[in-house]
This record gives sequence, C-alpha cells and structure tokens, in this order.
Amino acid sequence: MLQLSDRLSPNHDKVAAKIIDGEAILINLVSGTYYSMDGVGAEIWSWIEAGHPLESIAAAIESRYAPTRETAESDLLNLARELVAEELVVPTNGAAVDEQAPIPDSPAEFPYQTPTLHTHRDMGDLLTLDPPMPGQDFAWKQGEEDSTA
Amino acid sequence: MRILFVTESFWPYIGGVGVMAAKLLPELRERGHDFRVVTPHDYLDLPDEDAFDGIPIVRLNLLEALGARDLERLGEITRKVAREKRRFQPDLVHVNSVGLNAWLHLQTARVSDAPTLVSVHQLPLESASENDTLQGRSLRSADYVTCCSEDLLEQLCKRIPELCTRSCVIYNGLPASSTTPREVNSTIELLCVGRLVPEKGFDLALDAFEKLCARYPNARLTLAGDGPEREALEQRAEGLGIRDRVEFLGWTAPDSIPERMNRASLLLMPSRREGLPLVAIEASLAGLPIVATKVGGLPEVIDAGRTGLLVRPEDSSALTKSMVSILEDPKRARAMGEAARSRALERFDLEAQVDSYDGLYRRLTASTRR
Repeated sequence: MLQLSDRLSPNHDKVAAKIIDGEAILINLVSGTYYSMDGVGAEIWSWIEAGHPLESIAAAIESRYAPTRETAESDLLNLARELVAEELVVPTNGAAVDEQAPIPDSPAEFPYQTPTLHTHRDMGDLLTLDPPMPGQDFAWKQGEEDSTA
Repeated sequence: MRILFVTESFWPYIGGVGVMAAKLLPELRERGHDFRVVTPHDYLDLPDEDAFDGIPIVRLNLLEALGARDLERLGEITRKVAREKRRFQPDLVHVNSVGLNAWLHLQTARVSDAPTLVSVHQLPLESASENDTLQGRSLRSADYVTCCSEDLLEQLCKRIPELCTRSCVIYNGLPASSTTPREVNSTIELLCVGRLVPEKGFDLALDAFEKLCARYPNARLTLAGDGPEREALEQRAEGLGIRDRVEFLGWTAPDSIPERMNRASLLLMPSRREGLPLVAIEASLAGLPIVATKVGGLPEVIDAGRTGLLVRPEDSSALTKSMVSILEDPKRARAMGEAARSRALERFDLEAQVDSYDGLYRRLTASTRR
C-alpha cells in the first residue's frame, strides 16, 4: 500500500511524458492511452520526475497552495495510486533527487485544485476512425477557390 | 457574439460535417455572430492559416502529432489553441462533432470560461459512456449538446443519461434553392458521394454494382470523394472486373455535386455508420431516389418505400435488389424522387437550422454572462 514515505519514478519503459506551459501530457506507449494533468497535477509530475519523495511533495503542496496538510497528503496519495495503477510510475528506492529541479518555496501563482489525472482511453480508436495521411498530400487545386472570398 | 468553432472538419473537405459547417457559419454570421474556426489538418495540403468567406481558419497537425505520439508537437498545438482563445476571447465555444478535434478544446478549457456547446453528428464510441475517454469527458463537460437526428439523441442519452436534460435535436438543413428537381433519364448512372473511408461502405457499393452489371451492362458508377480507401477501392473494382465502368472523381467541389446528382439515376449510400448525412438531404431536394442502409439518421431522411429504399447494412445483394426495383420502374422512380423532395423541403430547411443555433447561442451565453 502506497505511503508518504515512498518514492516514485516515471515508468520510462512504458511512458513518454512532457510538460509544456504548466500542462503534463503523458502517453502509455503500450496501451496507447493519453493522459493529461494541469496545475497542481503537472507540478506533482515534475517533482516525481525530479526524484522527490512523496513526503517532500506533500509538504510542498501545503506550503505553495495552503490546503490543509490532510488534504495535501490525501489528494497526493490518491493521485499517486492512480499513477501507479495506470503504470505511469513505479516505486523506486534510493534514486537521487535531481538537484537541478528543486521544489520552489514560493507560493504558487494559481489557486489549489485537487490534482486530477485526465485519462483518454479512446484516442487510439478515434485515430483508427480518422487516421492521419502522411505522404499523401494532394496538391491544393489552383483556382478552384478563392480562399479569401 | 464571438464563437470559437472547433470542428472535426471544415471547408474545403466535402464530408457532411465540414459541408454543413461551411453552409451554417455564413448564415449565422448574418445574424451577428463572429466566428473563428479551429480544425485539424487532414489529407489535403492546405495552409495552416486560411479563410472561408471571410471567416478565419486555423488548422493544426493534430492527427499527425497523435499518430506519431509526438508530445512536443502536441504541446505546441495546445499552446497555439490557447493563444487563439486568449486573443479571440470567445463568448461561446462550439465543438462541432466529437472527434479528435475535441482534444483541442478540452486541453485548453482552463484558458476561457465561455460556455461549451457540443454538436454530435455521429454516434460516439461505446466507450464514451465512461468518463476516462476523450468523447466521454467532452460530452459530460458540455453545457449543452445537440444531435442531428432523433435516433442519435436517443442512443446518446442511453449511453450518457445525464445529457437528457441538456440536449436537443437540430436537423441539418440545406437551402431549398440549392438544387432543382432532376429530369428522369434513361442512362443508368449510379452515384456515391462521400469520403472514401470504411464507414461509408463503398466497397459494398462496388460489390452491389458488379451484380447489377449482369442486368444493366451499360450502367456506370461514379464515386465523388477521396480518402484513404481510394487505392483499395480501385483495386477492388479491378478485381471485380468493373474498373472501366467505375469513375473515381476524387476530391469534388461541393458546388458541383448538384449537377452530378442531376445526371444520376439514384444515389447509393451503403454506409456502415451515419449521422444525418447532408448528401441524403441534397439528393432528396434534387428529387433523386436513394438506396441506403438503415443506419443512423438515414431512416429519418428516407421514408422507406416512398422516398427511397432502406436495406440492412453489410448486404450488397440487398442493395442490388433494391436498385433494380427502382431502375426497372421509371414511373416509380419519378414518384419517389418527387416525394423525396417534398419531404426534404418540409423537414430539412437551412433557415430552421440557423434559427435553432442562433437561439441556442443566445440562450447559452445569456445564462452564463460574465
């Protein structure tokens, strides 16, 4: 059972992840499921990536967003369990914290919202219905339309 | 008011979703609405920034990025849409069709607190009943949902019952003057119109046509449209020995479809999946009998036996039999065509569709005014 004393790391064998403009986009490369987290969730992901233990992350949430300690811990553990269940992270022991990615000690610029993992299991099916067409570019028909009419 | 229109397809694509949107938006603009279109790129080579009838369009390589699992590009796409929302400050976001285009809005929803209207044109996947899907999330988070047919609304409410209290049907419409009744002629020319994708069932059309040729050796089949199945369909026609009687027009300007319909003996729609296809409404307005599968909203357009014939899906023999029954009785074909036009004029008027969306836009923005 996951506890605050645990440390997690991204499941690099199965997961590709990127944080852009405060949003984390993840994909489970085996299942094809896409995930996203923004706000608090994206920050949590970045701290997990940097190797910070869950206890430090809970403290950071409390300090940056000012929810109660109980709320910070409970929400973090709920998210962590979901990340483990989706095989996006794995428990790890002894991995060093990335000193280049410390947890900031300043207040966050946005209010606290429960960190949420948004899951999209149907992306693969939707792509099958509407596949991209690489290499089959049909030249735009000259004179067919005045596109600014 | 300012409407950000996030659509699965738009001009110049000739699929129903895109054609409907291209007819609807200029009309709604006449009612005082200001549009900006955001849409994924598809198989045509088109500019990222464009305009249709003065309506700005932003196209994004979403399908390619998702297909390649390129998170960097997905992030750039999200950033671009967020920028558009900040710049345009929409009063309402209209998500037209719940395909991968819905990702563009959902991923940037926090940028704007404008209400969201989602228009459904095809039955979502079964997985939409769950919240851990793009379609499920998009529908549940919508402030209001429209469906283009009664059948679709009924099916959607079964999958997501909470939508029953904030949804309605708005039929697709076409202007009554867009087509004129055709003259019945003796040349047997069958017409299929639509994107060349498996759900349109054009493989079944070829099978049915091949069987028809035994009885009508001079018959011809025209497929107006393009798509990923083109090569496979051409090979199928070759294999069936009918390649010289089948014309693949490729991408066809929507404005030239009425003329094609006027030349045709009937419209063949062997679809596996449909919403409320504009092609069927257009053919009806043209007084063209339709042989179609009993899927989606097609039974709401076609009064079986009176304005056309409906068969069960995946049955090319049934398609052939129905086509023969119309072709061998020109008097019946003419009566069907006339009845089809009357029905379409009564039920699928563009003005009524515009009235409905205009009213809905105003209602949704009034109830969530900032």
